[in-house]
Amino acid sequence: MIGAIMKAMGLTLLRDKGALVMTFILPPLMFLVFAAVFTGVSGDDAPVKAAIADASGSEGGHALFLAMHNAPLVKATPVRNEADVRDAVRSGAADAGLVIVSDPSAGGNAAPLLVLADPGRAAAAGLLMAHVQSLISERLPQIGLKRLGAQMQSIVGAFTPEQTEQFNLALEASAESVAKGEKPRGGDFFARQTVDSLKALPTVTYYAGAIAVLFLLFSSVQGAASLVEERRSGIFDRLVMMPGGSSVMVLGKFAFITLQGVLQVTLLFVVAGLVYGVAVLPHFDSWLITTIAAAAATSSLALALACAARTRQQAQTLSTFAVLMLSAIGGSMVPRFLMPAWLQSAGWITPNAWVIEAYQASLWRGAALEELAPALFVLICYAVAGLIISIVLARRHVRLG
Amino acid sequence: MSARYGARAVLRNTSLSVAAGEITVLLGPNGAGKTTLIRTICGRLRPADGTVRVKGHDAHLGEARRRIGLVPQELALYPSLTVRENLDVFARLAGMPRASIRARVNAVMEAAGVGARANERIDRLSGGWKRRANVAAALVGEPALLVLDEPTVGVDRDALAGFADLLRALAAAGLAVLIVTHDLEQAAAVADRVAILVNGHVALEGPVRALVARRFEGARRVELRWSHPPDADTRAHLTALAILPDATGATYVGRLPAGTGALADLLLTLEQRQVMPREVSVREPDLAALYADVLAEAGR
Repeated sequence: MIGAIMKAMGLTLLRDKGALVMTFILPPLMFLVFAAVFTGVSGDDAPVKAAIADASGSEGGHALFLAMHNAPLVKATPVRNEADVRDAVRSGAADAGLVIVSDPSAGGNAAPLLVLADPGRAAAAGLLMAHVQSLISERLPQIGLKRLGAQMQSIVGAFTPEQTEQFNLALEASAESVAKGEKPRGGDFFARQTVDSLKALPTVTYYAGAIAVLFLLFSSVQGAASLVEERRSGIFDRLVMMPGGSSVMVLGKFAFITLQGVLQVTLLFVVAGLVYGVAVLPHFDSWLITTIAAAAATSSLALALACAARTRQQAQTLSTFAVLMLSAIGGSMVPRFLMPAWLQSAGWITPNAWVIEAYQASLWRGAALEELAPALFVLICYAVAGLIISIVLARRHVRLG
Repeated sequence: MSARYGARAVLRNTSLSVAAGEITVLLGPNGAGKTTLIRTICGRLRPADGTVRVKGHDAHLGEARRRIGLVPQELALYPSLTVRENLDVFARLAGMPRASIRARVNAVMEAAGVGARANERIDRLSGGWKRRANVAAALVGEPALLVLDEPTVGVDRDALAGFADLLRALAAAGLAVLIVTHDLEQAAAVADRVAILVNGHVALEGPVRALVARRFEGARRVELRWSHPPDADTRAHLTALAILPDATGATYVGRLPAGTGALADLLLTLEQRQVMPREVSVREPDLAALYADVLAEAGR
């Protein structure tokens, strides 16, 4: 009997081109869009649109101005003065602005560089500052050295003639290194290595899981809404007269929506594997179990919402609210590590967070199946609880008194 | 039996029997309790007192439900599935063995006259075919009682005759058929028995011809309509003839013996008093007249 419900739902889905596209084409497309965004911008190599003005009238300032103009990670727009820089940032023509206020190679307490930030794009100012520092360190080391020399002399007193000679030699050497394309001598504070245990970018793996669970929720809600529709159309009245009653109806829908979810997620990860090298096959067991648990959890959650609603309008409102809230808190829209701590904690009440965590653990960190147990346990609890609630609520619709 | 929703009594001391091989039509105005009665028969509402039995089984039990084929008022079919696919799904849900489903579906399509449209999607059929398919879906579980709730809503007049033939054929095949409808024309066309439900109570029940003959005793039903209630003398004259007002006070309904000149006398009197009604209706008694008479009586 469950098979009969699945057959009816399957044929209905196959003959609804819009639903087919929503269920199987849109999720991989959305994933590709998110992945393109996050692979194009992996973090610190983001190009920044910057308005730049040199108000210093100094040789060092001019050198920095020219270097910024040619820097690959800065799309510099030269303007005349600080007011123009402010205008460019305020109007959105530039992500951030840089004003070379005074000679950057000179000593003194006042900062020679002024960065102007748009509060809506604060990260761009940080990136611009990082790019300027990197540029001074790698392309204009003499500016940094001169400023350092001036600062030291203000603390320890003027260099002796011998020290001045050595200092000038160091300045010439650093300029020569840059001219030869060598890295200037000097102690770097940071040595950087990327933890990249697997081939795919972690953001891509993250978004594969995040988009998967988001669309699992959407398609589950759409599938479960057929319950409300069938109550309205009288199919429910007819089915509850049959031997299986409302329980078979709910179980059939649960089985179909779960299967549909597994197929949907499979398609999404096939695309993720082919385009971005997300490695599913080496972790197929844990991926499959996570996928089934995720599909079952979202399916029963959607059915419980549909059973709780009395009208289609009510079901739509309830489902939209639930899907958007769960996805926002659970990390399907914005990565959870960007959220404040309390919101990250709150996220654990959503299936989204557990699904994303399970996919990340298995596909990115290569965790063994046992390590996924907590996430799988929570998802299975979601599935069982949702199913029980759905069956109880559906029975209430059958018995009118 | 009686039935209630919470504290509100909907059916009171209602008694009705539907026999195999007969078509019983349940009539009644909105709010009379028809839907509640159907729900009680289908086991979805437990009677407050009394019992509902289907082939000897309490209606609340699965055994009884399996013997009922329900045709809801709405088109209770999967619209994007074909007629055959719908029947196949419902046959499987009815718990039929897989091996016998195909034969049963073919038999039901034959009985309901939808074989010619077997492979067409429901949403591409006309209203009449959809209604036939709706009935066919209720037949796949081999019910003993077929319950149809407003089965001809949206069916054009051409298809109605065919639909009536279908219901008669099903009854002739041994099914007990209970139809709930507002459509008196359809009811008159198919009913072997009629039950009129008023204010949660079966006011009248029995074979249509016998009920009409017994109620009207060869009289004609007379209805007189004024724009405003007539004067006191006229009211007294009408009341003396057992022609009584409805709730508006501007319409009077009663019976006058046929072939006695009673109607001519009445109209002559009204003309002499210069209180001729705006509309006079005289009808040979039929199901519609019976129904109107019962409702008028209940209104009084």
